[in-house]
Amino acid sequence: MTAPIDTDRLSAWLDDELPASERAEVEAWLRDHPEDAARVRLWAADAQALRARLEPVVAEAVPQRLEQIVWSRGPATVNAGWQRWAAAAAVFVLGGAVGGGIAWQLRAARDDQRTAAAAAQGWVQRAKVAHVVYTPEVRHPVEVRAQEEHLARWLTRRLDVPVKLFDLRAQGFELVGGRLLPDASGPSAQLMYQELDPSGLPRPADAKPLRITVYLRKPDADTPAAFRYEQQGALGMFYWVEGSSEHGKPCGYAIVGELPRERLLALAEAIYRQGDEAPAPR
Amino acid sequence: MAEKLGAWARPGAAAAEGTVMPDIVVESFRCRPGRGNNRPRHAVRDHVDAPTTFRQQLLGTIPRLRRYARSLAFDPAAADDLVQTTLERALAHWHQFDQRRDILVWTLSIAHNAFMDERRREKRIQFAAVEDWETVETLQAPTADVGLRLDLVAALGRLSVEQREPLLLVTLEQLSYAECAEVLHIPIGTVMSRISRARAALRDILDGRGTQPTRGSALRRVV
Repeated sequence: MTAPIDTDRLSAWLDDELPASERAEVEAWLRDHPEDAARVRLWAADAQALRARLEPVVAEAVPQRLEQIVWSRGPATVNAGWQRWAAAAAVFVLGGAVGGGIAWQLRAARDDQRTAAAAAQGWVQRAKVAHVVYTPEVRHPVEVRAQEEHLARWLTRRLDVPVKLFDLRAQGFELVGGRLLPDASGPSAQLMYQELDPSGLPRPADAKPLRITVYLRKPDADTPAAFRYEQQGALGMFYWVEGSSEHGKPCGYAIVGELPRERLLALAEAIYRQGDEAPAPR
Repeated sequence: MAEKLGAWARPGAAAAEGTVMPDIVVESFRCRPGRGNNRPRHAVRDHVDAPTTFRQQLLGTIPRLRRYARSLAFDPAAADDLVQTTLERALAHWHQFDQRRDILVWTLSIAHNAFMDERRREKRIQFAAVEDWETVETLQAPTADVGLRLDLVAALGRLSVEQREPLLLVTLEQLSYAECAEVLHIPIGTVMSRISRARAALRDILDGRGTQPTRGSALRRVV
């Protein structure tokens, strides 16, 4: 028989954290050592009792004051008061010009955050509108079809960012094509994908397959890079900025579709992974 | 009556110490050029720009955050104060939450940090007398082993926080060892050994073998 199984591994086995190869070993040990098996059963019973004991808290309605925090839209009163106090004190202590300058800085820093956030929301809104406008089109959903070889090159040249034609067939979507769009201060692009028929058979002419769009743009300097998610009605959106020094230029992406969040996330991550690979065609 | 941990209720408390950014949030924080990085350290907790979807996601975490807070702070009011601090910090740092991650793991991480901040600040940790907590919990249907459950709560309180947290995160909140390691900023191996020791210690206490409370977890009656 193998070396005795220590408490740590018995515990990890109970939590299903052991690799498959070790699991069988532990199970064999437990079959041969009833006192250890009894111990592990007691741990499981204790955990079950703990869960039962605290389950009522999860079932309780969310207290109103906590819900109010989640929906609060203004700065916390105390903090706003602190800011005004600090500004006033700065003016008093340091004299007009410098004190006023600090107060202005405090306010400006906050406004910057708001402006950047608002700007970020602006282009995402445009991505959403572009999705809603073009996905219902039957005859002209795109400007240039996927089969036309110059699609990626053309968009890359116009946007001044590397445009890759992402392959989403593993996620069940095929590229229909793309188009150029006006963004706030320059061109942006929309790639349209539609859901593959799982049977592989051609669809009837009036079928309306599910479509998602990927909006690309050259990001502003202060567009945040972190992955964000929004939902408006049935429409979900993931958006982010990626690509820095190695492949030259950062690119902003927004994927829009009427899909459950998990499925949209899988598509977003597939795009993110492919964006990391070889640069766009020249 | 149990006294609230007063510090939780001071809205300005965290700001006065400087906004504590959870390490896990810093890791997922990507390039954000421009003036954002030079914000004054005592940043205003401005909730104005957190989008609706994020708020809805946050709302969904509250029941489980409340349970976790309750298993750490025991007193219901103190626990909800901890949740309040957690929600405020989450809203203030919404723009750093990477949506590819699990929002519950992220908020549990913030709650853990907030709890640690509070423990550092308070020299004495006050727990509600266990009997007070029992009378507040009326939802639990009575079963034969009521005596066992009373002991279970007291026994949990006698574990050190270092043992209690990983045990709760994994057995109660169903986190993986990897997620638990993220929340507590410890290696996975440490998670495994602490949980195993916590289980053994809990059993010892329930079997009447553990007579000395472990360091820092002595139950004290609130004055």
